[in-house]
Amino acid sequence: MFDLQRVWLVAKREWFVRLKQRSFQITTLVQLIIFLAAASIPVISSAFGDDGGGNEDTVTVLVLDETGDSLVDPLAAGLSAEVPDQPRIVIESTSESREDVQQRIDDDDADAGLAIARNDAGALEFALFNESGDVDILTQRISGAVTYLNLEDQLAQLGIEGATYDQAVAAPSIVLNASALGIDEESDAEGNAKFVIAYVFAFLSYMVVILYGNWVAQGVVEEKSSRIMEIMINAATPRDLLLGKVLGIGMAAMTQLLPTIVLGGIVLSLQRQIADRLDLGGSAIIDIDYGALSLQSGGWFLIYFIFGFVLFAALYAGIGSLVSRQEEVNQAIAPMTTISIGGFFGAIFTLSAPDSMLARVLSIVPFTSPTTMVPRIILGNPQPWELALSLVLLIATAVLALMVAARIYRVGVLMYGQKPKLRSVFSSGSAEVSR
Amino acid sequence: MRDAEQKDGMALAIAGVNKTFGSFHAVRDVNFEVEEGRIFGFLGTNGAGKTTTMRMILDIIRQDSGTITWNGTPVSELPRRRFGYLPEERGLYPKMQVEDQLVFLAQLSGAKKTTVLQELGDWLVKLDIQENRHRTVEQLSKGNQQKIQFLAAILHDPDILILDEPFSGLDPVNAEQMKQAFLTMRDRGKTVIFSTHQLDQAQELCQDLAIIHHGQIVASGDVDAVRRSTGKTHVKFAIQGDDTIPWLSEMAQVQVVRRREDFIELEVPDEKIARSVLSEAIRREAPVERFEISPPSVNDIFLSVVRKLPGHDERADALGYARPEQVAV
Repeated sequence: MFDLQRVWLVAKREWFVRLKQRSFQITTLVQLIIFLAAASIPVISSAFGDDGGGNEDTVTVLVLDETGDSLVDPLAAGLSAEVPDQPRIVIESTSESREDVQQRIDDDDADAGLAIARNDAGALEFALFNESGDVDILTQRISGAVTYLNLEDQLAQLGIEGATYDQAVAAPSIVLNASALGIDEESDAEGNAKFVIAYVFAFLSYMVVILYGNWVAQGVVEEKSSRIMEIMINAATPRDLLLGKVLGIGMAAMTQLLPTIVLGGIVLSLQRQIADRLDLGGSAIIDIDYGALSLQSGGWFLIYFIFGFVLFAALYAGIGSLVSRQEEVNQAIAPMTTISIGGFFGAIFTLSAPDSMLARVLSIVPFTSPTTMVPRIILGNPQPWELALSLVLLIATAVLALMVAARIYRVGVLMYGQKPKLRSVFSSGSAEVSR
Repeated sequence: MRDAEQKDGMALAIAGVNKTFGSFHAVRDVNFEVEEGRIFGFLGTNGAGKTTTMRMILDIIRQDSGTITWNGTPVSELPRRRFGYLPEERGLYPKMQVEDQLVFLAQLSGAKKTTVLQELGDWLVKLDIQENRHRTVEQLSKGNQQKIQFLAAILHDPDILILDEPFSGLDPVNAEQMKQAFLTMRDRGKTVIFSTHQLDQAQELCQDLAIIHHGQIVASGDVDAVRRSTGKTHVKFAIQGDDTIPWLSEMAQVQVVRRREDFIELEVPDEKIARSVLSEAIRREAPVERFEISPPSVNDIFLSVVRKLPGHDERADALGYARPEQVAV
């Protein structure tokens, strides 16, 4: 059906011509830089996070121990426990007056204060200081520690010691159970990172189809308007020319995309190592397994890009062949652009509800699957049969599109000056290439 | 079969070919033959069906009925590299270098790169454009672009050259180089079929011709035979000091075809009447400056056959020319 030697000849020319174009080289470089910068976001955010090295938030609590019983250390032990998503508490022991403690809090020198005294009955008395006077999470955490301290003190005063004492003050076991509707097992940081990566690939799928599809249409019209098409059609069949063009521009697109995605993925995978080398602290965002994530999303993106590109490019070429002049291209490819934008909106929707019925349908329908399936793979749980069906449909539609485009091409390439109408392709009044 | 065709001398045979586009009958029962190794002129007004016929010979588009064969084989079964094509609308990649472009096009037609490069060097010298080898096409003058276009048609070494208006837009120097190129190709045994508006060029260059009008062949064959086929004789006649020669209108069977700056062209039924014009001039003691008897030029043939078709019938009848099928030889 195809003369592969001729197809390759056309594809090679198309590819080399683009590689030599200054605009192509610059775009490739800019794209690469943007991607490498985006892949370095975790390391950059670590570098600019507060506290320079240690990225975690801390709060300072002033403790004024008026009892003389050295209660600061046991208190500090109680407050030092890490609580997820909460700042670490730093205890600063002070011997100033209560007024000074309040003053330092007002000056934002500390976040809260605690004064410990003993009343005439020997029981501990606590006074809390903060700026707002509200019972916030910090005061609750301090109260919790204080209650414990108080318990220990009272047990000691009652003379309970040894095993009985240990048993009484043993820390309770507390398990926090989150609702199953919440993000399962992964941290917020990982969820955010996945969301960003899914978004990047959704946008990239949308952009490349429009960009390279445009190249195809422009390329076909260039050959028509420069009239070289007529010599080419004498030498090769419209089918060969069409496939060569789609292939050649596809290779140019790959030349642009592959280094970007591969290098971007490598940089993203090495965030931990880069952070260590630069002696930056590590936050949660840097310790995600980016290697697996980029391999998975980049790999699927390329698979869907290849077949999605063939599908769209074939149609762009067919439409381009109906147009005689460069100025008419944009108008003629408007329907294709609309389909692409629809695919992008589908992808945006998929980002928010990756396993909803609509997202599942969009990720299987051929024209929207290239933009929506990749975000679904990253954020949701597509079933294997959904993936298989989506790919089979996409490939079948791409082959069908090539055949339809070849048909349009046969009539389109000899058609000049007429309004580009699909109907004229199937009417008998048009000159049609015989091969 | 091939031997029979060769004996006949006719390599390209177009027989009973029709082509319609919707309701438009672009080519109607076209018959003509082209001998191998000859230069064949294909003449016709704009829209007469030249390009459609040429595209059918190239099998770019296919006829609705009739056959087009090359030495007995339908052209649709011939490999592409047997044909070279220079389309009427010139077309090359504007931003591609001459050499890259020509190699690409020749390879697409099935030629080998090394042979093409060798040939290319020779032709660039022959056409005096060797300095343009590594320039982009858009940097070249129009005439030089056309030479490149010609090379795009021949570098893959085709047997049949189809050239649509190869002379349009060429200055006399370039046109002369193009003619030499034609002769070179003919000497190599190639068959050259070209269409043109410049009928003088056709008369000078081609051995055979066909005239197509409104999709029909109205005259075809050997150039001299076609010129004699009208049965008319033309006289180029000039008298010193008399631009108008009023007495010519009084002579029977003598028609003034056109008045030129340096002579008057007459059409007469035969040489006897022609000589009577000369006798009359001598009788009137007019100083004859030019008296030349010749068959009508290709230009005259073209105009007469074209005019006699619908819309021009009255003049055709007045001239008494033969019907198209009789003109064909």
